[in-house]
Amino acid sequence: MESLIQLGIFVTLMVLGFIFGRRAESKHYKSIISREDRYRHILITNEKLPAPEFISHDSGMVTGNVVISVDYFKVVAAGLKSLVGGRLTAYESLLDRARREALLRMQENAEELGALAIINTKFETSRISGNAGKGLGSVEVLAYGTALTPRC
Amino acid sequence: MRPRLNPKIPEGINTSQENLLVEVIMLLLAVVSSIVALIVLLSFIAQIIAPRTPFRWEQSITQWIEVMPKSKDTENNSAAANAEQALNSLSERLSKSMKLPADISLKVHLLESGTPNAFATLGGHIFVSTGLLKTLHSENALAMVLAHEIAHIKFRHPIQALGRGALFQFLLQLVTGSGNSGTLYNIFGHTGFLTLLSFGRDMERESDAEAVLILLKHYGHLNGADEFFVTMRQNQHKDAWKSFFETHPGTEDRIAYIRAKISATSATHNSLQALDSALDLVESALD
Repeated sequence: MESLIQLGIFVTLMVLGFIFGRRAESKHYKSIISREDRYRHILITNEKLPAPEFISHDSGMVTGNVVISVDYFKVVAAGLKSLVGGRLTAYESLLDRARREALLRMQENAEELGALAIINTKFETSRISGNAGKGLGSVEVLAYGTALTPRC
Repeated sequence: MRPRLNPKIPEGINTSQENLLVEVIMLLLAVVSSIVALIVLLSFIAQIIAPRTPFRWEQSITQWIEVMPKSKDTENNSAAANAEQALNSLSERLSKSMKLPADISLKVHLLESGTPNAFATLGGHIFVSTGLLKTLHSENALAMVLAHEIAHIKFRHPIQALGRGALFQFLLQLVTGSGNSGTLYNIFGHTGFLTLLSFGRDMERESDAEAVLILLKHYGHLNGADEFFVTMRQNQHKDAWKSFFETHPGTEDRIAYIRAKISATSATHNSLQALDSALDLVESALD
């Protein structure tokens, strides 16, 4: 009987994870794509030095930070997949969303400063609440760069 | 010329459009079926090895049961001791009717518990709860329960179950390791548990069949053998689907089995044996 309850909990969590995870993902992607269009004019590069036209611009750091959590369904999907090996597609889309969201927030930050471009863009990522292998893990993605603002 | 705008990056480079759900279902099916197959294999291994292990080994593990403290209440103590003796003599009489291997010895213990229950464990130890004595009204009914437990020991079921469980745990540790696989551990655990349960039910059926044989040999008829199951049926209202998750076969099935055997023996109204007076006394002493 106890085992039945446990199985029930497992199935419920899987279904909830799948439905809500999927909904959140498609909603998030829509928002990412529309905002990427909006901030397209704030140029992002990973060059170390500013291009000649930005040589007399002010520079300052801008950051964009995201923390995302895996849903139960993706944990199970990835766990099963890691038995046989191969691409963990469950996590790929999650991290893709996180990186793009971090860039967008950095661009948002740059726009507030009135910047035209961000150079020397870098990513940092770190794991949060690993909980010694138990529970759902979450990951932080930080994008930072040097924003170039026209001098008034 | 430097770009004035960020380029639009095509979707699907860093992600894939595969259907995750299909993949997960396929993998789950594969994992579940391979677990079931492995456990079936391990169980057969346990079934072969268990009867070949010396009974002494079981006894040496369970020595502590002998020195287990009994009831603290001294007044009840003598009544309980007498009842235990009566139970042991009944089990001795019953075991004479079956071919127990020479090295197996039985010891029945009385368990102070209101829940009607009886179980057999390693080392030939059988536990009968006082609640069970209270629900039964004839020696025949008690003999059916006892014979069932003796049959478990005769077939070496306790050590088989132990071996199976241990092998399964070992396998579980081996596959899931100690990494971050709590969820996997769950999937494996529950699949395995349900498979083991179904083996448990086979054991119960085997013991029921043996118990019926013993009773027939001992009393010449099967009247009263179903009393315990009939009482159980009155106390529980179970749905059929739940029987999948039980160690024992459904009460209904067991009653049907015993009744079929009764009608097959063609014995007419044979009288039931009364319970030993010591067993009646312990009931009133513990009330």
